[in-house]
Amino acid sequence: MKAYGRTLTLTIVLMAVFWGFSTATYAQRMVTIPEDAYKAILERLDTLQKRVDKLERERTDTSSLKKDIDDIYDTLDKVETKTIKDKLNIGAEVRTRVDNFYYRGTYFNPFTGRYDKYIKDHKDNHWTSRFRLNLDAKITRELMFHGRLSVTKNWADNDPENFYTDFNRGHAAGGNTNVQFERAYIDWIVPNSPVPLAITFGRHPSTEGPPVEFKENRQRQSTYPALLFDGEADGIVATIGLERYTGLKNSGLRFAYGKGFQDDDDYENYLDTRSGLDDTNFMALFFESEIPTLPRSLMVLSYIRAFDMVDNPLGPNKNVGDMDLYGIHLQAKDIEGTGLDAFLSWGLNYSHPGGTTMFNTPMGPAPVGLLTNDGKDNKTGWAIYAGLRYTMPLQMLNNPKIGFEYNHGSQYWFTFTQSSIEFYNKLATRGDVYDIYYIQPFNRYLFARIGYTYIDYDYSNSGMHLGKPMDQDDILTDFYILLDCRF
Amino acid sequence: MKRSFKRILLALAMVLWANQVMAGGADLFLEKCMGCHSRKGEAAPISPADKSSSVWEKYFKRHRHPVDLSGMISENEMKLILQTLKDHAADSDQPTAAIIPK
Repeated sequence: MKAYGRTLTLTIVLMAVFWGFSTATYAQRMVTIPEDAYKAILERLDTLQKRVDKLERERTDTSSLKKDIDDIYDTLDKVETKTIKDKLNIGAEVRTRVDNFYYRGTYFNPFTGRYDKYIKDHKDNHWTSRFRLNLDAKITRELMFHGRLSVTKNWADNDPENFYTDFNRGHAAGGNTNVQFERAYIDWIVPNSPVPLAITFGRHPSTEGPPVEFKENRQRQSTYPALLFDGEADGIVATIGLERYTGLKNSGLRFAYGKGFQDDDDYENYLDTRSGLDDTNFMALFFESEIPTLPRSLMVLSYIRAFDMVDNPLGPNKNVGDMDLYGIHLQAKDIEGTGLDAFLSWGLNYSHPGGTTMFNTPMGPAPVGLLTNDGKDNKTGWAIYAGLRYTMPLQMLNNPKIGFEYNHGSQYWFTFTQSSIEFYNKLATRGDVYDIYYIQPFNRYLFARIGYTYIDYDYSNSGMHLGKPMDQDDILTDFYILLDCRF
Repeated sequence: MKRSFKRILLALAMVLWANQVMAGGADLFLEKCMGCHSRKGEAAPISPADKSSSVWEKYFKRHRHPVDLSGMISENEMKLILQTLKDHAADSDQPTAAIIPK
């Protein structure tokens, strides 16, 4: 019994000691803080936990990134839709030039009824403005549009009469401020064609062709070399790409069709007049390529035939025959990295006269034919056009350029260059032309050009296809300055 | 007279040499870029007219070219190439003629 009692006592003591220790340990861990602080800590803990959860979610889940990409796509969709709706890229050109002309030549004296020699005529301080609106669009990968609306006018010219033909509406300066339809055409690369084929239709890039871009301080502007064809013209061209067959870079063969005159009735202008006039049709063949081993170069071989030319495009009465034109054009830019550009162009024309028409001369009406007076003989003319341009390595002056051009046309030379950038159809000259210019760029959009042109006419009626060109010794000079802004 | 002629020739030669140094951007573009960016190259074909002048400038400033070019093209060469890209960029004067399909 005693033993039982000792055991119980010991158990009680041990339990008391164990409880005492436990109570003491609990009492050491207890912290007493105000209730508000306790709540604040709990809230802070909750916030931190939420942030940790969010970060963990963002790290493992790409939905947030996806949302950002979707936002960017949405923005791009809007931009792309806007761009597609815009359809057209628009650019503009503004040019102002002042010319100082001097002419020394023959002049018909109505009092004596004869041509008097060496009448001198000055036309100084002649100002003109030119505005162009350039348009383009890449409709699809195979379909491209280019257009240009333009006005060229004399300053303060109130005379409504202008010598506009369909060839030079946008280029001839007059008193008219009407905007002219200079070019608008579509390039269509025909898909799934057995050979690389493009069709170009509309009012063509047929003015200011190679090498006029050198003098104009710009890129190539026309399909055709300027010496043979520089006129605003509607037409259709089929171009076969030959690069994959010949290995010649940018090589192609072109077949072109256009009209130089289309007869129409003034009242029902979808019908012919009953005058019996045939339309003037153009057929042409061109081969072009980069010159082998000469980068940035161009070679064009040309053949053009004008069928049934009319006597006077402004008031045609008769067809006077056909004309063949042949040409070789070579040019190279920045030859061997020297900054030197050069070109050489040769042309030949051969007439097929078809009778005579009456032409008003100061002496009265006289019969004339194609490059002859009797309209019977075939005539051959030729011309050469060569030049150099040098880009100076003067960066502080924005790399100015200096150029020299020379062209010579024989007695029977005739070419379709009525849209010449000069007012005097330089490339049709039957004689010699010396042309020097200096181009001063101010920035990538604005430049000035100062130039002097000297023309020595050896034969009469340069640029005209009627009548026999007669001996002449006329001189025309032009000193000009122009400012051109293109953007 | 003979001396003047020699001087003129020397001056001309120096100017042409200077120009050759200046005007290598187009050749560099063909040599350094078109090797990869051609029809049968490792990268997609490109044209300077793919971007506007200011976009080309930003493109290289932001190092957006996917391949590091520093080992292939020197800083000076890059400047000339960039100038060529800007000279022929989408907002520069573009050649116009009836298109020749390839």
